Amino acid sequence: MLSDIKYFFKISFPTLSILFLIFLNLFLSNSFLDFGQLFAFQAIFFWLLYLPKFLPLYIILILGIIQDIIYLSPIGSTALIFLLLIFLFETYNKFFLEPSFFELFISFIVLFTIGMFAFWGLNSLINLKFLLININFLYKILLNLLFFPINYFFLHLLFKKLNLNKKL
Amino acid sequence: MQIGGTSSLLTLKTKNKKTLYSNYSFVFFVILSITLITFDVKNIVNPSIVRTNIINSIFFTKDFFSFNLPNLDKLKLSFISKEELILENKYLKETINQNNLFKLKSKKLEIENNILRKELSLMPPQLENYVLVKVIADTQTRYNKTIIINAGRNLDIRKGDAALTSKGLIGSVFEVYEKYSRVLLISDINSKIPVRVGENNIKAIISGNNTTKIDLLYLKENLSFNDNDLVYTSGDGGYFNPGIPVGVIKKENNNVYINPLNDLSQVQYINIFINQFKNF
Repeated sequence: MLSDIKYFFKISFPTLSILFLIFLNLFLSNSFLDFGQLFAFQAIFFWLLYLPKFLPLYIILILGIIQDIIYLSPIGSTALIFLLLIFLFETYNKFFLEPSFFELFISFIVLFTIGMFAFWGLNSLINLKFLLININFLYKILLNLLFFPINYFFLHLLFKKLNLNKKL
Repeated sequence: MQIGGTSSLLTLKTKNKKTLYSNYSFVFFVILSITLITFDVKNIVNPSIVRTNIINSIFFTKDFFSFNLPNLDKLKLSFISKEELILENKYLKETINQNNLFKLKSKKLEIENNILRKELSLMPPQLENYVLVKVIADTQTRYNKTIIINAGRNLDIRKGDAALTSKGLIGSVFEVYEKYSRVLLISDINSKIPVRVGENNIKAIISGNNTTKIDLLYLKENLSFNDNDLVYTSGDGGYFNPGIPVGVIKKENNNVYINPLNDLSQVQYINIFINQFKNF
């Protein structure tokens, strides 16, 4: 019984960590630490690297829909951007064999920036007008890039502590 | 990248590489997302039941944790020094005195207003009823400007009710759940409110554009405005009571826009104006 609970906890840990980031962003957003809607991509990126089989596409879709419901975005828009980024990640994945953290960080910067612009483009398309890009937009990108190493460190720590790399 | 590869914090070594997701499932989910966006944008399916349930569960979870975790604020309060308490007491007494003065002034204005109303033979609006609510989640993004408040159907809040602070209008209730509601701020791109501007009572519609500046639409040509002219709701359409201040006119390079009276990113407590002037 206990081993079953442990097993389910382990396989759902990537999803739970992404959900945690979504809620964290929602309840921090009243302060200056507003990471924007793509904050959860930090965890998605990490789990795509370490445990992609516990992050099936339907989970990405569901998490994206939850985000859209919270932020009143058109349902499916966040999921579409996440899928685009996963596609780009896969393409990038074929080119690099053993990336160091620095290389991962650079690829995260590129992917996240593409994601932010793609999200802006999608919203402009939905609203049928070019939405403004202001300093806040760049601030959100910078904030996410600054926090990525911290998130990466904690997720890696949990990944090791919970022995998620061992075959389940 | 594949699981089972040896990994340290700074390097990730992979044993083998294969595609993470099959092309078919990827294409399926992309098409599904695009279909959902189309359905939502075109309002083909009303997702309000799903939204209500998800929002209720999210905030139920949040409330559950916030009530059960140790309250740091309460803990901090117990360490407040005597000196701070005396200062706070003094400040509170001054505030009470000031509020009493404001109360007297507003009473006087109310009497004066009623007399003038009678003179003008205007019908008084329905009973004014405010509910003070707290903003529990700021869900403003670059593309949507909404906030979630801690009152819903349980406090008789309905879609379209005006949300305001003592300074002026901040938006209107857009979605109502059981214990929560979502307020669409005046800065949102979908917000359109009929207003009147300045002493000349010029009619216009204000429209948000997801920035802190609000656009003024449908104006007659050759109209001029002064800086700091007050903009207030006209009551046209029956959604808002007339006369609620919204913002002030600002001019910048021959462009006229409105500066809201409230800082919409910092709103904490708001009044919801229920049972308002809805006579249509």
